[in-house]
Amino acid sequence: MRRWSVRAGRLLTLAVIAVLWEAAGRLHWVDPDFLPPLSKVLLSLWRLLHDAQFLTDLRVTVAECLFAFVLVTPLALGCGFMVGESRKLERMLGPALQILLTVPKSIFLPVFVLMLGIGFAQKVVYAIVLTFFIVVPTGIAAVHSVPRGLVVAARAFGATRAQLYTSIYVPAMAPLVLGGMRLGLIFAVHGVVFAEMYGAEHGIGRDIMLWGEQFQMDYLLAAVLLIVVFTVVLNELMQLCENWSRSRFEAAS
Amino acid sequence: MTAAAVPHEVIAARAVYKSFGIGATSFAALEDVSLSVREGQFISIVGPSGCGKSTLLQIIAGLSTATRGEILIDGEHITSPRPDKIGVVFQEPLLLPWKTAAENIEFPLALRHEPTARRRQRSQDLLDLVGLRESAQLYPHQLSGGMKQRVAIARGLVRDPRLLLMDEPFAALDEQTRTRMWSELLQIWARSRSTVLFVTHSLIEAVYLADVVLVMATRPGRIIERLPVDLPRPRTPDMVGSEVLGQLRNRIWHLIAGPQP
Repeated sequence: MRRWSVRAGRLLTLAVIAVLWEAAGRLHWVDPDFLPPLSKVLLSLWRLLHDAQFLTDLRVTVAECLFAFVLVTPLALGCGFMVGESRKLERMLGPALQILLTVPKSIFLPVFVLMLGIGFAQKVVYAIVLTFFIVVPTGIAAVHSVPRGLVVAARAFGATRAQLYTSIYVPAMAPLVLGGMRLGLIFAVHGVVFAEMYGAEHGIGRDIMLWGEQFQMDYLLAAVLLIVVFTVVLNELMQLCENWSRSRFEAAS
Repeated sequence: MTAAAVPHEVIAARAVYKSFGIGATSFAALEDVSLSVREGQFISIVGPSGCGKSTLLQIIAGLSTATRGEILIDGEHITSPRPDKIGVVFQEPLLLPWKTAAENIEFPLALRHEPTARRRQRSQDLLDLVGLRESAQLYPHQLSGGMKQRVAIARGLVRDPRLLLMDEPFAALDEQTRTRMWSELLQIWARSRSTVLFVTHSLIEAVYLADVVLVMATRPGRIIERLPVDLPRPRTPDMVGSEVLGQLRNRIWHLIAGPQP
């Protein structure tokens, strides 16, 4: 009953935003050149989804995002794991990782373009560099979240090193690892689209930039809407996995 | 019972030293600790905190190594955990939160890839032994503190060890639960006929449960007295107030607290 009303409330919020958006343009609360009504944006989106050129750009962007995500997440979580497992490594590398996390990565985009051009590699490398330092601390936290007592107990009952990892580490770290993957996904998309906006031949980021310069707000917003839906859906899916793993592997105290 | 006149020696520790740290900052956690435990005995180790009683237990369990000296279990040197011979119960239950009570008890068997049917049978038997038959499918967070510790005891016994090491297993329980757990542990011990080495900081607990109480002192950690307990078995909760127990408790207290030569 309560759950049902919460869901209804959420849908209602979405509906109200949609109606306000539509009304803002139609009733000239806002200049429709800047904010075209939702219906017009959706129509543009429909046209874009039947446009061969745009679909190529979409494929390029999705491929870059997935490539960056698949490379960076295991890499960053793996590094985080190794650093978190060794007190010495953590004390050695901790400050450097902290500093590199603080530095804004976008200032290096010109360097990446000089080194890698404006193709696939530049997008993926920029997204990886951006995402890596954000995910590493989650990997470190994941190792630290493994209860030491359980490891000692498992050793007393004869667990081999491999069994310690499979029977204690993996389940105990699952919630934070999934959280790290979610962060990785969000920032991989962010990095790719941003790098496309800076310089690209294909990709949705480039389209958005171009439509901005040409003042085609309906197409621009259509692409924005598409990316929003894409990331939100993926994020929600990962969140579901994360919640499941929390209920499964964490002690409810 | 076999015909052997002298029961088999399950634990033999000879001149065990353990120090932590190096150089000027090092300190002796254990100094010249020797002990002998015979099959079927219930031995308590009691002492002030920091006397190294838990360290000693960890070394006997193979979870830590002695700096010097040797430990023999069943005549074999111990350098790493020997779950085939030794079961361990810790101060915290340390159950895997993502496994049910039955699965937690079966965990040491699962590590050996024993067939599921045999595992199930064994966990059923042990759940009966510790009186938790109804709770087999519950997760640790659904169990009370006493129930969790009973699951931990069952897990310690699942491989039928010759020796059960218990490291202050009831320290975190309230007094009533603890008193109930004493009786249960003694019943379990009587039925399983294993040898128990029980570390505690509670003097009453040490005396009430054991055949022999080993008293330890701190700085450096060492055994200062070996006191046989002349209470008949089975022990009953009334004995907690008995004169024999009270006198023993006082003796231990004076050993620990009194001025030492």
